[in-house]
Amino acid sequence: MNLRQNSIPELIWKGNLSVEVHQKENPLSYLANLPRQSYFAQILEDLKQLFAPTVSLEECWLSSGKASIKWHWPVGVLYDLLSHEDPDTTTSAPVLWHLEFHVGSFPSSLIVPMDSMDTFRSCFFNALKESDYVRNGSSSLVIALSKQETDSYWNSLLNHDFYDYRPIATKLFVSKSRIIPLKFYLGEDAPIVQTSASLGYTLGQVLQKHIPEFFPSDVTCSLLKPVLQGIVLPLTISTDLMNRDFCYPDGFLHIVLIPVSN
Amino acid sequence: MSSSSKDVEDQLNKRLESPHTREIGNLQEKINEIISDYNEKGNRKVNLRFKAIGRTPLLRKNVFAINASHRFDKVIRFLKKELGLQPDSSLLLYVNYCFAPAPDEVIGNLYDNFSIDGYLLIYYCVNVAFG
Repeated sequence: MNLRQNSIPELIWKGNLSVEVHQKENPLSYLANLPRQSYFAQILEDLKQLFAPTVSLEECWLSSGKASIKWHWPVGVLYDLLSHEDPDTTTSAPVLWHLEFHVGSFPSSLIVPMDSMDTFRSCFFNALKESDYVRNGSSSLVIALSKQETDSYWNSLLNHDFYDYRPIATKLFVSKSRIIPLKFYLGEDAPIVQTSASLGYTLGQVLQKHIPEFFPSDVTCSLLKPVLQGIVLPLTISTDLMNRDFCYPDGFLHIVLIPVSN
Repeated sequence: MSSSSKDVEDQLNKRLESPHTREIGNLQEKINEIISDYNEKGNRKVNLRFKAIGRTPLLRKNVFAINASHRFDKVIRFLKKELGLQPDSSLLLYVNYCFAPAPDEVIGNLYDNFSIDGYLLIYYCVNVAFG
């Protein structure tokens, strides 16, 4: 196991977001640094205990502005998509993401209620199998994990432990992959373009091939630019490098496309 | 209105008229236009084929066409209805016998990435087939 200090995967793993959650007419506030590589499902129970201990978990949900939060999407992806921040624009003000906690009037056409951590675990591992299927034509690598490895991977997510996470992630995403799974988010209320790409290409070439309306050129961004893990990527970056260092724990490369800055 | 807030209002109005802001407006308009086209394209029909796993009720017909812009939860609800099951009963669906899509995944994306010979193959069962 060769983990260089401050390697890119480790830096990405350590990336977190300061979050403030409040509820209307409730003086309490929940403050936390949430890892980008984590899920709101992991804090929903704590939020419920703070704001509304007597209600059932299924009635609880979060919003950011007018968007309802999907607890089964990675925190980092949701921030890139919903914060309307441009990573190229540096501000001196610290980032604090404000979210609102709700009980009842569940927006069931937009999000699914979470009833337990088992539901979340099942959801997470199915997403992992889906990305594995894209890479390998079947979910063979995930299914081949021993029970110990599966539990270790799950615990690494819950405990946010890089040293339990990285060896299994490398085994699943890097060691055998020739094709990588991609999800391109065209905007907050816009479609997601889900596709795959081979190693040995640049991001620009992949964008030009799959989203040519927004990327007529594979070297310049004219309308939108790609953000992955909160970083604006150059179009020259290779699919190899993206796959090796920038995957989320579910095995996907979730790339949010934001308007170019002026 | 106080004089200071009038000043602020004047400043805002000036900025709204500046070429810089007009450019941003045009950019967003262009983006919205293309996204609109994408949404239109999403309205195509794609084919689903269902297969039962284990001791599960069979369908009279197991091939259906569905609008690609729908989310997977629509397929789950539809299948429960076709099988005569209650909306809150347990029914599990797996694409290509491998993974259960999240209910908010778009059918079009699943089809484009996982279809075989023109069909998105969905296995279904009332009990958990595998974890």
